[in-house]
Amino acid sequence: MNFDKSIYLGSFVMATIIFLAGTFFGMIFEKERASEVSQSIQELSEDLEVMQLSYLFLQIGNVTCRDFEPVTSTLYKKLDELGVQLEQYQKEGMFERPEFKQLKREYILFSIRTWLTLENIKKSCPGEFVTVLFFYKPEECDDCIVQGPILDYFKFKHGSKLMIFSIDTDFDSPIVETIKRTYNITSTPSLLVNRVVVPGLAERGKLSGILCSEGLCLTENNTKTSE
Amino acid sequence: MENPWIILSLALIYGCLYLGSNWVLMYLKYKNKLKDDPKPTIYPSVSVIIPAYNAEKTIAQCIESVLALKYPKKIQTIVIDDGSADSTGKIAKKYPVDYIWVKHGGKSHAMNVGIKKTKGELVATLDSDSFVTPDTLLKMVGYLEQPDTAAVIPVIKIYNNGRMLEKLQNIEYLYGAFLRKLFTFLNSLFVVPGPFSLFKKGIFKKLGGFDENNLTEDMEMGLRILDAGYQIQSSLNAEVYTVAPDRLKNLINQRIRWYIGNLRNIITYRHVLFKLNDLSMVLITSIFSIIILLLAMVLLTRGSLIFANTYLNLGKGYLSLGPGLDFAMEKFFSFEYSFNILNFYLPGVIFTLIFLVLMALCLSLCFSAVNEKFKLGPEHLLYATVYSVLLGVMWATSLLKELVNKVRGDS
Repeated sequence: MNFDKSIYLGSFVMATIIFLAGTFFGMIFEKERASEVSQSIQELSEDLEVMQLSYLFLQIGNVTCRDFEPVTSTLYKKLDELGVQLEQYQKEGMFERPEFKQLKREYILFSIRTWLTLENIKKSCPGEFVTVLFFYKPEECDDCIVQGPILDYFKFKHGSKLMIFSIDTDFDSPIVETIKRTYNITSTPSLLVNRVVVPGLAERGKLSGILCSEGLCLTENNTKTSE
Repeated sequence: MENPWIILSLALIYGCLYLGSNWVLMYLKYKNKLKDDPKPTIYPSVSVIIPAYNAEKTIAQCIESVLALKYPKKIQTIVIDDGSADSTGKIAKKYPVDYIWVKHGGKSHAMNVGIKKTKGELVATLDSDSFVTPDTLLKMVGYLEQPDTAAVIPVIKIYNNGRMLEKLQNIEYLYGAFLRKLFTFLNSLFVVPGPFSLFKKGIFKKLGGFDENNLTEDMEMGLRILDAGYQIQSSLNAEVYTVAPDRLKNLINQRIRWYIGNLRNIITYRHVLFKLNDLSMVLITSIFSIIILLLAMVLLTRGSLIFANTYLNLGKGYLSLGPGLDFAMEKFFSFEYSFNILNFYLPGVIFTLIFLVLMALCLSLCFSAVNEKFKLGPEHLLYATVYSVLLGVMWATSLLKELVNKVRGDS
């Protein structure tokens, strides 16, 4: 072996040092992201407690249905943004994948808790808002991606009256299984609009009709504006 | 880790870091010796052979550049017309050159015919679409005074440097010349480029002429010279200009020919890899860099497919909404969420920025080493990104094409 070893050995050493430094930085960065999500879930849990307390007040008659609107809308907005953020962090994650998986589980459970609370509030305040569970898979589900903009559209149109919770079905927790069994949900994507199951891709017209039958109708006739 | 793609991505990053470190260490070790050409004390007689095939556009300028060479002895110029169908012969005969006509048999055959007619102690091979500069020989001839040096090569630069494609090739050629010079310090320069190379005539007597059945006979000759124990040197001050393909289609054809030729030569000389000397390591590192390039192509393809799939489906979703101008407005003009630095994958962003900066630094070092001015422009960014992808695609194509040939038994 008669070659200039210094260059090749030196390259191994240099490359390894830089690689390890980069990996270390990557881990710290992802840990920072994970702790940011964890903290957000913590804050949201506190907000949810406030909502649940308000619901208890409602039941003894000291709060009207209108009073819920600011509480639910801020909670939902934060929850929705956190969901998008967590999805992105999980997808990009290289070094802290188990950490993000755990956070996803927490997020799903939190979404279900929020949804259940809202379901209970709806019993006392029917017609105030519509809740939707969106069952999806992050990979190998083209229709799930197509469904996204359609849901965003109705979110935009109805504001805080429509609250959509995205449930990643790759995480089969018992409570999600129970919900799926109760409403006989078998395919992805699927929507649960209030109590109405919509299996498969829900296109704009179909979803508009279902939302209207649940009390959320689009007042402007969008289809007549042909530009 | 469950995900094989993550492992491959990390392997790619490590491979790039290794190759980058390799380059940096070689540069640091030899940077003070790059521009020193030994001053010649003797001036052997020189014959220049110019194999030409349908070269009427460039043969005049080519011959004139040879006639303008500064050299204390008279230079014998031989033009070997490889059965041209155009007016190459008519143009060449106007000049004071030896003119030989052969039936079309390929460049190697034409060169071998020409070598037999040379009278000089040194033989220079010059492509008919390449032009020497007056000082070329003076800068190179000093290297041949070493007894174990069989050949010496100049820097090949691109003559037509106007269009973006030509500029990109120029950057590539300059970087290649720089890399070749680094190899000479490891006694491992293994190519004698077609555009211009200067040989001691004795080497052809000892090792034979050019391989007439080879797509890249210049690399084969280089490997043969090194395998026989001789050296090839390089001068970064000697410049020769060559005409490069200005159309993408021509470039692709040229490169596939080159890369298949290179692959075949490596396979023929694979015994060199096992000797574990400096040449082996240089060849192994070169092969490794091709593998890294191909790995990058694979990951880039997969990433692009995923990206395309996601955005096609998103587009489907948006289009299905029909005219919803108010929604479109909101989507594109509302950036209401608070700015969060964590939204960007910082390791990726920083890695890319560092890579681009180092690339620019590397290119500026290359340019100054070959006496070219470096002005940072869009061509350098394109070189680091799009052009490298193009080269990768052409390597992959050549590899596949050769594999298919082998399977069919054509070769």
